[in-house]
Amino acid sequence: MQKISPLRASVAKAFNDFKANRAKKTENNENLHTNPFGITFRGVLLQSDVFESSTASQKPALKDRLASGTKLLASAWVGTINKFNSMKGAAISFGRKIKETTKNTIDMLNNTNVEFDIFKYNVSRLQKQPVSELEDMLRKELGA
Amino acid sequence: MNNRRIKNIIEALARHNDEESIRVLDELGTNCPIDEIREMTSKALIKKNTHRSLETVIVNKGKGINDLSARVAMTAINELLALKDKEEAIKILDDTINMHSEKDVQDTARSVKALMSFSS
Repeated sequence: MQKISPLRASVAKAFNDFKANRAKKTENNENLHTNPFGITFRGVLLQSDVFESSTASQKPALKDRLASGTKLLASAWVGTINKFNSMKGAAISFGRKIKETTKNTIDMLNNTNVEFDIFKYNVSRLQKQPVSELEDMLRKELGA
Repeated sequence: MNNRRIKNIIEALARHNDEESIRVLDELGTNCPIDEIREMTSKALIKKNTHRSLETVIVNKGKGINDLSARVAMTAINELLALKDKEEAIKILDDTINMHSEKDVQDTARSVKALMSFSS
């Protein structure tokens, strides 16, 4: 037993030293970080830095954030207005194009005699017209 | 000059009931220098088959059956031969043979009358 006792005593001493060192280390750790909740991960106390944003100091103030939000909103509004203006311009352009096409078609129909000749110089239709009109038409055609 | 239009106008005048249409055809059609127009006009006047219209193409020298163009004259004669009712045409031909001052016109009328007699 006596032979064992020194061994036991040395083990106990080593344990006590380890315990003391650990306690000291823990205390040091507690002094180093500022984790207010003492949250641990796998038995290791998390550093308070984990919870603190590294950009916390760069976080803009409420006023700046509001200004930034306003700018963003204004930008979006301007973008929307531009989009609507663009759409409005396209719609007006399309309307003008349609109007122009319709006008050209009407002009073309008004100036196209060939299409109306079929009806104008139809015998049945001519027959119902007064002779004086037919005479004028015949004179015109003959160049008399 | 659009032939289709002229043809349609002459055709319309041929079908017209107004007597004035004969005057227009006589004045503008039979005096036209273009053979084709005179030909169409002669046919139109004969189709009307009235005393005044037939007289225009039978009695007048240089018109209808007396036209200087053989084509126009032959067309007029053919049209006379194609008439269903030839009574008025024969009557005018008889009057022309008996009373017309021009011998050429009388001879032509006589020839046409002979043809009509054969064809009827």
